[in-house]
Order: sequence, then C-alpha cells, then structure tokens
Amino acid sequence: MKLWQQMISTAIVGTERQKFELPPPADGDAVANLLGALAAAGDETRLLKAAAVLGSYLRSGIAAAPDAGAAPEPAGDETRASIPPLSENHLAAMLAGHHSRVLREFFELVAENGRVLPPPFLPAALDEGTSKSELRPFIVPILGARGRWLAGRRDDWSWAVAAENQTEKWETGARAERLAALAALRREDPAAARELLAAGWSAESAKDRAAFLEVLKTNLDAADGEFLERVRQTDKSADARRAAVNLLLKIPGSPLRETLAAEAAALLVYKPGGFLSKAKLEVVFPADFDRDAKGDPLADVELFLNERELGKKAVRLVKLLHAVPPRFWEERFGAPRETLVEAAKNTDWKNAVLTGFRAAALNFADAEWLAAVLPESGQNDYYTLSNQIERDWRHSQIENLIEILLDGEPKTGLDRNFAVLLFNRLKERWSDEFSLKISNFLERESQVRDFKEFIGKEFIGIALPVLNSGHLFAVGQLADFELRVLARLAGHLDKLPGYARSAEDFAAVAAFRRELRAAFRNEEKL
Amino acid sequence: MPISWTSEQVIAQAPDESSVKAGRGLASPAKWVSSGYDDRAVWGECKGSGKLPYQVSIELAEPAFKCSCPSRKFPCKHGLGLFLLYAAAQLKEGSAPDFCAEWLAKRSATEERKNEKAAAETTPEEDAKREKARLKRVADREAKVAAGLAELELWLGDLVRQGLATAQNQPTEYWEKTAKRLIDAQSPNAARLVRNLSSLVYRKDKYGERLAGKLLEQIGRLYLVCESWRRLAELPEAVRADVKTAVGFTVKEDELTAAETIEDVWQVHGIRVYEEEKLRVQRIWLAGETSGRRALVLNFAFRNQPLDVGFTAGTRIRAALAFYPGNFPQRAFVKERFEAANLDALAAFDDFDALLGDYAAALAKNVWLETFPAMIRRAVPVRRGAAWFLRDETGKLLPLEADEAALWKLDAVCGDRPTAIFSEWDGETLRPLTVWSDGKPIRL
Repeated sequence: MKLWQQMISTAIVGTERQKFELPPPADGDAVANLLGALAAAGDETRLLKAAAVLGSYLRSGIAAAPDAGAAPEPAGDETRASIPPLSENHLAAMLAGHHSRVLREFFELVAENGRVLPPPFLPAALDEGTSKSELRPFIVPILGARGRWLAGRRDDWSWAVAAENQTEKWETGARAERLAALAALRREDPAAARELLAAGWSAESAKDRAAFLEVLKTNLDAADGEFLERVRQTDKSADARRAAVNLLLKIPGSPLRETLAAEAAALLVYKPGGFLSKAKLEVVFPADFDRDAKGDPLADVELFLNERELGKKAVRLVKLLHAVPPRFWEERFGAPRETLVEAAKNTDWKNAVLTGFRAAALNFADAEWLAAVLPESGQNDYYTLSNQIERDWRHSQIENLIEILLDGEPKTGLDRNFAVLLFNRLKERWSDEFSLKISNFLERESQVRDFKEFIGKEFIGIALPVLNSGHLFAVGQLADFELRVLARLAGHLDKLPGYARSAEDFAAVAAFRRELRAAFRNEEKL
Repeated sequence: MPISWTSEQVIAQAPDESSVKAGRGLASPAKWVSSGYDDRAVWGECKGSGKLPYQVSIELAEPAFKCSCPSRKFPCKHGLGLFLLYAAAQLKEGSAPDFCAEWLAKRSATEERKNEKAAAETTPEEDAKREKARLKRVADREAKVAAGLAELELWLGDLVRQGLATAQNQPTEYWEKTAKRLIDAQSPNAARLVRNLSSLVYRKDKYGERLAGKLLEQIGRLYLVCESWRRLAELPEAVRADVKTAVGFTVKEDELTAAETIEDVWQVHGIRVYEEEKLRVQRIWLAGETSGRRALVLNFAFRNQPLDVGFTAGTRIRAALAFYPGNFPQRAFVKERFEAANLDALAAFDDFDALLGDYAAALAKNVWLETFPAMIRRAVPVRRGAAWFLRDETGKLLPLEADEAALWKLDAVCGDRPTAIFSEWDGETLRPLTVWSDGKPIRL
C-alpha cells in the first residue's frame, strides 16, 4: 500500500524532517474515509492516528502466500513396529542424561527386537549419533523408513543415510562427510570402498590421502595389498606412505612383512644358556644396516624415538623389530617369550631390542608379549601405552591383556596399576567370560584380605573401575555379580562413602538395564 | 481405562526438569511394592528411604496428586513415576486400597465445603465499607493511569517526530525509563508493549524495511491505547474491558460473578509454558465442541510452584468456562470441571484462509489481540530456503517460528504427510505446540 510505505519512510526520518498529511476522503473507500476523518493538529499526531488505523487494517488483512514449490512427497510407510511405551520413557530419560551410557545397549535391544525408534525421538537420536560417532552403527539399523528419510534432510545427519547413497556423498561431500561415507561403505563392502578410494587417489590432497587410508583399517585383508603396496612405493606424501606401511604390516603374508621378517631374522642370534652362562640374544649388524637406502620402508615408520640418544643403528633396529610379530621369535628360536626377554637383557643392544619387542607387541596387539616386556618399561610409559592400546587394539584384545595382568600374584603391583588404566579404556560391553573372571577376581580378593589390606590402594584401584563399568558388564553375569560381589563389597565400602556411592551407582545402572529388557518382554505378555 | 495418557502428557505435569528425571527413575514396576488403578484413580506404594513405603494416589479426572512423602515439589517424583507407569500400561486394574479411597472421599468433601463457604454471606455494613474502599482504590488507580498514558502519548509523539532512525541509536534506558514510568503508573501491559518496541528496534535482522513497518504498526497500537483511555467513557462496556486489559488492569476470578459462562466439552489443543519475568506462564488453548468457542486459560506460578496440571494436550474435558469480559472474549478460567476423555474428531480450520478470516474478524473486535489459536486440520511443515513454513491443503504458506529442536521434531513426526497441527498465531508467525500423529497428540 502506497500510503503505508509513505508513512514508514516518514516515521524513519521523523515528522520534523518530513511533513505528513492525511489523504483526502474517497468515495466508497471506507479506510480512506476513516483516515480522512482523523482531524488532528500536528504532523506527529496525524501520523500516530493513521498508524493506529492503517496498522490494524493491514494486520487483519494478512494473507497466506501461495507456495512456489510443489507439495512434498509423503515419506514411505514404516514396516517395523515402534518400541513399547515404557521404552519411550527409558529413551527420553537417557536422552535427557539419565543413565545415558546405556544408550548404546538400548539401541542394540531395539534392533534385537526388530523395532524402530518412534518419530518424535528421531531428531534427538540423530543428533546423538552426530556428536558421538561410536554410536552410529547402532543407530542406523533402528532408524526405520522415517529415520532414514529424515537423515537425508540434514547434512550433519548424512552419516545415517543408506549405503547406496554413500558413493554420492563421497563424490560431492565436504571432507568430514566423505570420511564418514567411506567408513560406512568400508563396513558394508570393503572392496568397493577400496576401489572408490583408488579410483580418485591422485586427485586427493596429501593430508586427505593419509586420513582416507586409515579407513581401510576396518576389514583389512590381502586383497588390499596391491593398492597399499603401490601407495607405499610411489606416493609423494610421507604421511600416506607411513599409513600404507602400517596397514601392510597388518596383512599376514604381505611381501613387505615377509621381507622385513627375513631381514630381522638374519640380525638376531639366540644363544641358549648353559651351566654357567646365561641365555643371550645377540645382534649381528650387516655392514650397511643403517644406510640411507632409497625406498627403505622403515624410513617412513614413525615411532617417536630419540635418535640422538639411541643412535641411528638402534633406531632402525627398533623399527625393524616393531615390524615383526613377536611370536615369530618364539618359533624361530624354540624358546618361550619370558626366556627371550631375559636373554635380550644380556646384550649390548638391550634397550633397542626390548623397545623393539614392546613396539612389536603393541603393533600386533599381542597381550602375552606385552605383559612379558611390561616390567622392563617405566611406569611413566603406562599412560602413553594405554592410549595407544585404546586406539589400536580390539576390545577383546584389551580384555585379554587385563586378564593376563591380573592373573596370579602380582610381583610388584605395577602390572595391576596398568590393568586399572586399561579398565577405563574399555568402551564396549564386556564379554561373559571377562565379566565372570573379573567378578571372581574381586570376590576372591575380598575374601583373602582383611579389611585393612582390603582397602589397600591396589585392590580399590581395581574395584572402582569395575563398579564404574556397570553399563558394560555382561548381561548374563550382571545379576550374579550384584548378588555375590556387590553384597560382599557393600559391607566394607560402607566405611568409605565415595566407594559406597560407586557401588550404589553400579546397582542403579544394573537395575535400569534390567528394566530396559523387561519393557520389551512385558509388552509381549500384555 | 477411562482416558489414555501418554508419557508426554504425564511429563507435562512435572514442576521442573529434575522432577522429570527423578520421576522417570521411579517409572519401573520394581520400585513399587503395590500398585493398581480403577476408573477414578491410580495408586501405589513406593519404596523410599524411610521405613514405610510412600503411599501415592492420583485422581485421574483433574488429575490430582497425593503422596505421603515430605517433598515440597508438586506433583512429587513418586506421583510422576506412578503416573508414567500407568501411561505405559504397566499397572493392573483393581480396587482402591484404604489410603487412596480415604483421600478420594476427603477430596469430594472438601469440594463441597468450598462451595458452601462461597455461599456464606457477610453483613451489609461490612459490604458498604468494603465497597467504599474499593471505589477509592479504583479512582486512585485511574488517575495514575490517566497521567501515565498522557505522558506516554507525548513520548510517542516525540518518537515519530524525531524519527525511528534516531530511536535506533538511543540507549536501552530510553525505552526502559518509559516502561518503568508506566509500571509506576500501574499500567503494566502498556509497559510491556513499550518493551516489545525496544526489542524490535534492536533486532537488527533479516526484516529490514519490514521491521520499520512492524514498529510503526505497534506504535500505532500503543497510541490507540492512549487515545482509547482518554475517551473511555464514550466506549461500549465490552470495548472498555479490552482497553483496560491493554493498559494492564487485571480482573480476579472471584470478581467475575457476572461473567459469561459456557459449559461444553472442551478440546485441549495445545499448551505452552514459558517464563516471563520470573513467572512461569502456562497457556492452555481450548476449543468448545458444541459452542464452537475458543478459549485461552492462563496460569501463572513462581519458579518451582506447580502450574495447573488439569489439562493435557490432545484430550477433551467437560467443563464450565467463565470468560473474562471483552469485545472478543478469549481468555477464560475454569469454573468447574467434570470428566475427561480421549479426543477423536478435532475442531479445526480447514485451511489458512479460514484461519485468517476468523483472525481478522477477531481483530476487528479487539485490535490488541495478541495470539490466536490456529488448529489446522491438515498441514505439513516445509522448508523454503532456510526458513520453515506450514503448508495447508490449498498450497499456501505461513511462516513457522520455534526452536530448531521443535521444528525438526515436527518434521520427523509429519514425514511430509499432512496432519493436524495446532499453533499459536501472532499475526505474523505460527508457533507450533501440538502435532497429531495417527491420532496421537505429541507436544512439541
């Protein structure tokens, strides 16, 4: 409306700069007549009156604009049933932060029961997966038709869209999206993911190439060898070559692994102990061992060693040993690892060999070997070690290591300290066997020690992380643990309020987890 | 079951977030020693920290809560937990135990006593004295308001004389001082309208020229308050009531003896709770099935005090509502309520044209009307560019305004299938409050 526009511009500059007159009354125009009747002295009063009339008039005449776009296509039908009403409560509680560590288990339960999340919860569940990528594999299967439809509407939810769309995401997305798409594809179709990566390899930036290679860690096998070998030999980026070497070492029988094992085998000589002599592990370097040979795969390995302190030869020795699975030596020398570790101490290259063994044990996730060389490591290294284990080892391998570390009487208590560190690195649900072993361990310990010793640092050190792992305890062992161990612990821990709370939390989490399951079972009955 | 409650509806009864959390923790059959329900009530005994279990009863009609725990929260976590269990169909039907039956009987008796008390009379002398004092208070206030609004009129004149561009460079005190003077002049709603102006001025956003138009429109409406007050005596009684409301006069429920009362089955379309100046405000939107009337019931509570929990979006309740006077009576209070039931056929607008037509008619009666209930039978949220709109069956759009989480929840529930959606319409945007999915109401 022209008059309204005129009034707005007058109001902006002010009536002291711009005069305002009312329009003359017009025949048959009720508004104009009403405005015309607003006799008033002074520009500002006239403007205020006109604003009162015309503003209300325009407001009551607001119309909805026609949509230039087409009506949206309805989302597809949901084929699977939603979760029971009681489970909706549980889900709402967890999304609000109550026992939120149990979310993953809840998602697994929904999937096991063939259900999907109800629509009102989908945005929150997708947000949860966006911020916690470890939850994604558990969210995707329970999104249902509606959830997948919804995920396609927002870029930050695109990790949840169907696999057939991942190729497109890979081709058109930003870096993070492409990484997520490649990872999703690698989980479902490892060869397709590799081929996709190889096809556009030369066009990727050096930084991206190394990051994308990391994705191949999932479902790695011999079929990846050729591509990785090509990257190792020809890629211009040291980061990409290093990533390729690391992966190739994990493929049994890969030419690189064989070559390095052969080179290492020629280096170490084992002399079994006799009547008067101790066993010895000697190092015989060939003349050109620390040459700067072109294309030396070990040049691309980065183990953060101090070359100035160790010397060039020793650094290459550590790298070479790290590339050989430690069990290789037991087979080759026909001696158990404890003996070999002892023998390694009797050589001029003691530090390098032990460091190499430790790096190899870490690299190949060999729990027994790591436990064997652990006493030779400084306690200061524990934190770094546990970081690396958390990053590179599979859950069952960490469980295995903890079991070994807790087995039998501790010599120094140090390996127990390391076990405690590792407890906190476990992110997946514990296996039945592991849960049972740990609860037996706690029960045994609480029986044999009197109270004074019982609250000793090392025992509590283990009891606490176990109590804080209520959300990870194997379902099958849960009730048993609560009955046997918790009851026994409770009597003691009462005297230490902080620990009593942990025990209470454990019981609360256990009860909540039982309720999650009961909600699905009870529904069947109703 | 007389009425099917969803857990969302139950959660809506909670006084605060921590109660919700605690209530959910108790929504587990294992926490309850005994429990059950019948047509009228739900009951249960909950293991607590004390020796005896807490005895919890819920009367379903309102719903009303009773618990033997010492918590000052209302309803307490036990009530919420039990109610959640009931909503999730985890309780068995049975007959009420003594503690529940006694409470129900006491409740009925109290209701009766309340009614008797209301009927009790006072002496004529007392009445006359009171009336005299009241008239003096009224006169005092009207004088204050007249002075305050006269001052406001001058201020508005200055505002448009110096120009909105100048006003934009004024410090916040420029607006706040005016608002405070209006508070002193016992005109709180006029003060609120001034504060709205200042929030518009500092909203340097996408609107640009439209913002100046919006500002001018509100300035005009504020001016209309001043002018109407000056000529109050000339106006019809109903309009006088609207002017007084626009100034900030409030009417107590018990002063509304002559109020228009409508008994009907009221559909509860939407509930919005928000905070305003340390008060929690609850807006309940109702639609009468036979009368065709729409009503807004307002409740206020200080932070942790309970709000009226008697209404649940997506249910219907037979009740007598008394309307506050006005030329377009919308605000009402609940005089008496009867049984509640589930909602089947919604009283709704078919499209935006119908909504806006009714809105225009309402504005013509009361230009200060701020929100209007917009129940659309079939609509779907769409995004055009970065903005969200609601699209009706005729393919027209009105802008949606809500926080991101609510909008995505709405989108997820709809799945691009047109469905019933209730929003508040403020003349510019729709604020979605309830969406129906397969006949089930979901609060946003």
